[in-house]
Amino acid sequence: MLLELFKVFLRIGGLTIGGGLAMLPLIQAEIVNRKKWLTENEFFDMVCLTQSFPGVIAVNMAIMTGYRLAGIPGMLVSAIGVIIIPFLAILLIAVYLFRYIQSPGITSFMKGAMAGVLAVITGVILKLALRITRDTGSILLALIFLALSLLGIKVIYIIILAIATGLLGYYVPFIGARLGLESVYPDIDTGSGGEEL
Amino acid sequence: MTLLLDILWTFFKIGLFAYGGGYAAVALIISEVINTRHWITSTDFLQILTLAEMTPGPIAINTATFVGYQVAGLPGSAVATLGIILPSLILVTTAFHFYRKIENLAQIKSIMSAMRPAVLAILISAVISLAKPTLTSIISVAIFSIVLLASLRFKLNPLLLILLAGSAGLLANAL
Repeated sequence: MLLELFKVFLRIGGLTIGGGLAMLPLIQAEIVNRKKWLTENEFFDMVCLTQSFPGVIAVNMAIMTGYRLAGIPGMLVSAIGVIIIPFLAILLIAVYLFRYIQSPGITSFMKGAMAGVLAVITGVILKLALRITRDTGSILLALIFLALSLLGIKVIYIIILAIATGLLGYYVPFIGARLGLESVYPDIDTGSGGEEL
Repeated sequence: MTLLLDILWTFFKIGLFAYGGGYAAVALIISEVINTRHWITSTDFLQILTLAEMTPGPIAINTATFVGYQVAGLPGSAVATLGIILPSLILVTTAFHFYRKIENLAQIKSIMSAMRPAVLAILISAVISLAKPTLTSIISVAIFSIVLLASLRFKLNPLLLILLAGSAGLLANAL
């Protein structure tokens, strides 16, 4: 299990170009679709949780998946796996290749690849959107938060506001029912077993 | 040794306060490393950033590794990278451990169902800000649209799609 986790995150870390968000489609393809270590719902909930912590999304995602599947050792091998190739790649460039990297061929390849990265990220987010916005309440919430975010409100405040909204919805059932809280995916209740591996 | 501890502490703080992923961390690196500590110049930093976009891995990690190397060689790069992920290691594990115990409480479910649309909104606005510098030509818009359709329509490996997109960019440039 530990070796498997390490290999998967080594691949994810070593092959993603374009930053942490670009890792989400890869993590989904590897962990959810191929290895079936997590369900789609668990994966999306982890994305939500990683967003509410500071730090690098991809590393947070690796840490959380590793910990979820194999405790502290799993967390450590996943974290090391995901950063080791990027770390060595940057060192290699810093030491030897800094001046060759900006050749026109590499630049145009990278431009194309970045457009591709953006597209696969957009794909994952669209699927996430279809899953989340199932009723008018959640569509409304998503639109309000999107407007706030586009207006330049910082992520941390949006997260705090979301937590407050959730608590308000719980303690004032009228509002909760109006916003459709608690009913987004009813099938997630069984996700806490933990020992299915 | 004091320099290494200083690097560790600086990047630990950056990892701790970087809310909202890689670009938030990059903003903090700019303010800490360039404006406050003057470890590198902003011209160097821009080059590092371009490079970080092109190399595998999260941008914040790449940038930390590179800055650490510039400031204190190999030990510097190791310490900077460790520093930026240390808060995640501690916080995420603790919080997730805790979350697993309480995730079935009705309050937590209510919070999570408000969090999902919020995170969706955050991700959408992150994609919009990534799209601005990326979709700058007809070619890149075309590549974007084709890859998006392909990724929604068929279950293709995202890596394969990215490599194809890169090759398309190279080809379009050569023609």
